[in-house]
Amino acid sequence: MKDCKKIKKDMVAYIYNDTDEKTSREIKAHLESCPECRREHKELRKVLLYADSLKEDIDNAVESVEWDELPSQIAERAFSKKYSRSHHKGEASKRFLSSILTPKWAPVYAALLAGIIIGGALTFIFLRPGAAPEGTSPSPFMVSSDFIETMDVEMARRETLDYLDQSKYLLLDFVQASPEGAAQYWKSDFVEAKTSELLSKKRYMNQQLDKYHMAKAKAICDQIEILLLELTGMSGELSDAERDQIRELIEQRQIILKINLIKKELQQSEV
Amino acid sequence: MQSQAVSAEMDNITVLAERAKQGDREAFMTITSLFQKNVFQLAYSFFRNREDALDIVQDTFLRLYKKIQFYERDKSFKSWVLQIAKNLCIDRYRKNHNKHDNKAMGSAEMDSLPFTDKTDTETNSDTDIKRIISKCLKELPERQRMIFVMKHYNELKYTEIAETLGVAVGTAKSLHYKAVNNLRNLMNPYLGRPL
Repeated sequence: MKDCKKIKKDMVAYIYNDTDEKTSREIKAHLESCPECRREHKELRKVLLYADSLKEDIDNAVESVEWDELPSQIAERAFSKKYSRSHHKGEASKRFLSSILTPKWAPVYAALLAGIIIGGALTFIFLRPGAAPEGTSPSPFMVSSDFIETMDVEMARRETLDYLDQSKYLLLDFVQASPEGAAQYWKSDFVEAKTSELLSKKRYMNQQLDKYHMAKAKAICDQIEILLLELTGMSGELSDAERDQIRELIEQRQIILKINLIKKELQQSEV
Repeated sequence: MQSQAVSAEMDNITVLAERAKQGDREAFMTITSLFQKNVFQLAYSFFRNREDALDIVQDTFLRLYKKIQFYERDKSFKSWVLQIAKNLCIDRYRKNHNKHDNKAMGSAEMDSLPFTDKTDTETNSDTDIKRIISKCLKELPERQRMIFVMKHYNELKYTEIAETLGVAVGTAKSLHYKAVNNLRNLMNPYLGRPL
């Protein structure tokens, strides 16, 4: 036999006849033998009987409604809503477009246009190459002006070194050659082309030497330039006297030594 | 025979639901006419107010029309409709709880209820009993109240209640027992002695 707790759990369902046959039999048997559960059963039945008193009101309320008309009324609302939803979607987008294209928005569009133009101009002014102000932190996507300047200095240094090297070998060849050899050497096409190349290179280098304050290098380069100009200025075959004069000039001014010193200095200042 | 009839009805409902989903107005109206009284009974028993109940009927079928593509065929259509109605009732109740909690029965009216020490409850008039039961029903927690209404006035089976509320059958039974027991305790002071 089930105990009272289990019986109570199914008691209300039993009153509604919503228990299976076996449970109903067990509850019925228990109620016959348990006065406490019998009292509970009676009280709960009474509550449900009282609750029945509202059924008449509910039935009257149900009777008061025009049930035949209600489905069509609801359908009317449901389908008109559906229609109005899809219809309104198109209407709403049209209304939106026409409302934003009215003249009253003209100042807004003008302001937007002006903003775009000014923004574009400012972007061009401040972000164009070389426009970054000094001290601006470098952007990870841009080469800074400092870096470019360093590269320019390095290029100038290397070009100066190259100029000095070529000049040194040219002068050394001249100084160390025999008197006949020196005359032939100086008249050769190679030396003529080389001299002209060095002279034109010097003209280009002048700007860089001034810009990057390479005063010592400029001084020796100037002397070499003068020497080369003198050599090219001499027409015809070099006389012994002229050759000795030039050699003396090279030695007197210690041009080779100076070239070596400047070269050393430039090599040490490599970036 | 009965199960065959239920199965045939379910098939019909499924066909109607499918047609309503495609925008068939007649099918939608047929569905409405099949279940409108169930929804009204539930809402009226819950609110004890005709206008509220009619609003719930309208809103239930409008929502049904909107959500019909989500109807799962393995679920009872009636339970699905009542689930929508139940949710709307609870929403409305919570929304209006503070506004007109005692719309059907004002506080002055409640005060006039017969707190009595009469031993014979049969002497209470029918009107008093209705008012007492209405008031006590309103004092039940909303979930217990909904279950009581479904079982007592809509005469649903526990399996249907469980499906509508999305709970186990045992839970539905247990909640219903609590509802009836609480109702008894709430009614005792008005009836003068334990029932």
